[in-house]
Amino acid sequence: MAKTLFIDTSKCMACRGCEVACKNWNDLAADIRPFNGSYQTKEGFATQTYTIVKMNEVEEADGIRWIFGKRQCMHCTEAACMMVCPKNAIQRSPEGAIYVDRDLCIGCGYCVQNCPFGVPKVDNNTHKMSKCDMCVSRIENGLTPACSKTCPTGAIQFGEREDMLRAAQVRLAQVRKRFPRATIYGNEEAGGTVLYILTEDPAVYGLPPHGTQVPWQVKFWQYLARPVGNVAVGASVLLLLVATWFNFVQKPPKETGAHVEGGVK
Amino acid sequence: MANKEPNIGIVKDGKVRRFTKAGIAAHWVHTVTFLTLLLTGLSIYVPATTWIGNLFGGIQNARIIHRVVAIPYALFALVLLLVGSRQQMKEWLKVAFTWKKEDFIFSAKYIVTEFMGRHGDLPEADFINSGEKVNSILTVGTLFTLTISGFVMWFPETFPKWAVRLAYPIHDLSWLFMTSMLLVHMYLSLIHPKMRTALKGMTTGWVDEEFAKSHYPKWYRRVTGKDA
Repeated sequence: MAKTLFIDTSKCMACRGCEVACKNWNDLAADIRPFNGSYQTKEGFATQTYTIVKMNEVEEADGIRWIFGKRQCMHCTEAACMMVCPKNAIQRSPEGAIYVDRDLCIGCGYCVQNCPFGVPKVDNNTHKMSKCDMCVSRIENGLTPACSKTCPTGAIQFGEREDMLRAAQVRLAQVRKRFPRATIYGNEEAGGTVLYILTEDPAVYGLPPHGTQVPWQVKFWQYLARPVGNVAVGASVLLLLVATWFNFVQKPPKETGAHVEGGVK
Repeated sequence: MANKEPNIGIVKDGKVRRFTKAGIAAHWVHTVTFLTLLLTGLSIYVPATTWIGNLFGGIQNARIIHRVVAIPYALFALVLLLVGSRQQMKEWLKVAFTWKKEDFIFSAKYIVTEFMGRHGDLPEADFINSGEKVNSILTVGTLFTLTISGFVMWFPETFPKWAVRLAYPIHDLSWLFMTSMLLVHMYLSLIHPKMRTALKGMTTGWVDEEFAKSHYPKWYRRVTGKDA
């Protein structure tokens, strides 16, 4: 059954326990960077960093307010990365997790360029892509993803898709009393395997705007360019098979006319 | 129309000089580089042909070779033609991009008659016939589309995201069209009983006079000054 990771940004306090739990479960190395003036631990996704908590300081009349946004793979139901992967190395589990088969991955980076959310990263030494796999090894055994398991405020919930969607709608009504601009994000944008309650505009969290997020170039490629190209190659092969039949199997009649051929004698 | 390279059109021992040395060199440079790019590309891009990567010492080597060979593919044939065969290159491109009603008739008739080993009454061709015009246009066209899109894919950080994403389908469509044309081109030059003699033109530069007369009558008359 389709599962959903439901992230309620209004409940996030940026403890970054999810970042640690993710590193722990997935056995990812620490990626120590110099302090750059922000409390945000990681600037963005990396080969060893599958989840990050974005931290934005917003100046308001009554002082500074923090906006926290936990980010990871959206596990799109129409996943651009999966569509463009030339080796079918990116796959989908029955629960809806999009994960990479490292044996098939050649590190070409097509997914990196085409993901609307900037999630996949390729290691230039191992030539393998890595990203959040929604802890597929945990969820297929009935556990919740590590980030959800560790979240102390209940900002990261995990469950059946319908239940999570209903919970998100209920929660949205409550959150809107305090954050009038709050929206649900992820259902329309990526198919609902990851749902957000965002208290602000998606751009604040580094997310693309509301609306479906499969790049038009990917659609043009997969639904038009590729099929047309395949038909062209198929038509050529067919033409040559027919020509071979008429030229060699069912030999042409001997010519008697004046038409001279420079053929092989 | 006296637009011809000095040696082109000379008749000797029943043969006609058809291609310049630089033109021949350009053809084979293009052949070798394109086939290398096709094979490495197949190993990178098509799941069923991943094994081809082994011929190049593994898929990561194939990826490097694909980029390295792309440079001579993009430049060498073009430079050879510009330096050594500018006259014939101009003539070739002019003929290739000039389309009349008879060109469509030629291709339509050719496919069902001559291509299938039957005799067909075809409109007279000039330097190249309309099938070869399609091949020429695709070869030149995809040289540009493959080079430009490949360059964008090679340096994705340098270009805007929309352009990088658009480069993939352009690269894909280009190689698929070019490969389908190449299959027909190679079939005609290597296998087809009536046409494979044309290969001599691309190895020696000379073709049989009779072949030139019957296949390229307009060109034959133009460059030799004789009747076809």
